[in-house]
Amino acid sequence: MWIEYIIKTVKVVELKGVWVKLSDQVVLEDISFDVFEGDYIGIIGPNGAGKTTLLKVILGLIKPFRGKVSVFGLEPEEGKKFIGYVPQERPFNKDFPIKVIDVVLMGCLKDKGLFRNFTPEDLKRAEEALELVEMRPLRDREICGLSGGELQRVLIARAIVSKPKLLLLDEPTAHVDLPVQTEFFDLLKRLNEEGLTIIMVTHDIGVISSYVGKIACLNRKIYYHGTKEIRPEDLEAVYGCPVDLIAHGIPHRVLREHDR
Amino acid sequence: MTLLQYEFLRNAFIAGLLISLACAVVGTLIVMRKMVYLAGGIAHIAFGGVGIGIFMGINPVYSALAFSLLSAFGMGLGLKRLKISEDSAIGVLWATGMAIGALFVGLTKSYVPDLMVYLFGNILLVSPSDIKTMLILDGIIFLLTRGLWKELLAVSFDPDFAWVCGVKVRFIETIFLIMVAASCVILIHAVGIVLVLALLTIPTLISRHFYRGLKNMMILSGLFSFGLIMAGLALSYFLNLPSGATIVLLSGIVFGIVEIFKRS
Repeated sequence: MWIEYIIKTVKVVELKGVWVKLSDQVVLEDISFDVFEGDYIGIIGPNGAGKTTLLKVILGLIKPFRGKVSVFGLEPEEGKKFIGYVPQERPFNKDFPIKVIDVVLMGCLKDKGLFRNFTPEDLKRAEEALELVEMRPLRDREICGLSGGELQRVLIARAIVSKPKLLLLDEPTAHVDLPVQTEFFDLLKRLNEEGLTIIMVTHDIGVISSYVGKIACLNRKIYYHGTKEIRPEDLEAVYGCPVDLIAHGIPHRVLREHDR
Repeated sequence: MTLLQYEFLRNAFIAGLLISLACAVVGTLIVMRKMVYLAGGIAHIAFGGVGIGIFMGINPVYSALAFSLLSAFGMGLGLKRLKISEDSAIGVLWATGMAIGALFVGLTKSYVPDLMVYLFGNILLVSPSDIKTMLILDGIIFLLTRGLWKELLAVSFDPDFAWVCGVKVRFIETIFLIMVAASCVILIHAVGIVLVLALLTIPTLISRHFYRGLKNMMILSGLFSFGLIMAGLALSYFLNLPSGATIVLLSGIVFGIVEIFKRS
């Protein structure tokens, strides 16, 4: 029981005064941000706000020039083994002739040395992950023949096959149509309830559905209060203009009661 | 086959097999990774090695191998750190490598062998010692591909994710460039530096029309390249044409026909 207590108090991600420059431009400014176990955080902000950069800082792909990052109390290089990552869209080579099952198997690379093949156990785990996202029937399809939603699910399977403790999602719903989005958020909610900590980044306020537990706003600086509500003044600071929060005509919970 | 009684024909046959293996494995990967230009760069940089070999009086194949391996190594470590785009850097290296070769050939006071062999290849001149070199290089390519298959796949498809999974991406990329350099040297024997790209790309491009899946494509493009090399060789033999150019032209024609046929 006390072990559980310790795990609960260990911060999953801790950023302290992090500054990041990309080609001589400051893209993240004095970011301090704590994530606790079981959190389900949505980070919103306009295009170019540094959202992807923030995820890459957590992953250790980009190093801040000032400030400290720790993941599960470790350096990102060490901590990244507990992270599952679903990259933004398709930064990868979509024409590469690779099968669905082989993409998911990539998630098993973590504890494999060079000159080692994947074991039947890895294959079983990969198939289970595909089962979870309901993509098992397509396991032998080539990736370039998949629809946007199918590909997204494959990438999630790849991210969760190694049983991560933290899942990072970069613009997970772009190019996925609405019915699929609902399914997708159901899946994330299920995973979150099983104990997975989730950080999701998006430029589309509309996709911050009722599932997300906490919301942060980012535009070089971060506005985060560890709460479910977005303060209108934060949004204005981030987007530079008042934003209509009921963007898609779907009732959202992002606003407090309209009392002020 | 009475033709195989001639030693040079037998050597050409074996060389064709060894070249096909390099085309199959490395050619498929560079085409699917869209790294054809980079492979062209490495092949042409090898000419610098050829020039140095001629100048120093050693077998130009060995110096070409050393030179292109070195450049592959350098590219693997340095290309991503440059502030200019990768393809301009390759353009610079491509021309510089050729210039180094031309310079050393110019400086050579003694007899300069026919450069056409290195630039455009002649598979009929492959010697038993060349075959030994090719065999070793093929062996290295084969073992590296088998041993590092999952890393090569991961790095080819999604390097960021591979990095997150703890794959040493830059190391694997460097190994891959070394495989490319090795196959360029293997291919120089058949089609020469200038025409290497034809055999690294065309068989894969044709096989992509017929097969899905990386392994299947590799097998099929190996078969295609062997067929094209042998058919080109036979044509050049009976029509008394230069073999390298005939092989490449035939490949180009077959590619064009398949492309038109598959499109309509």
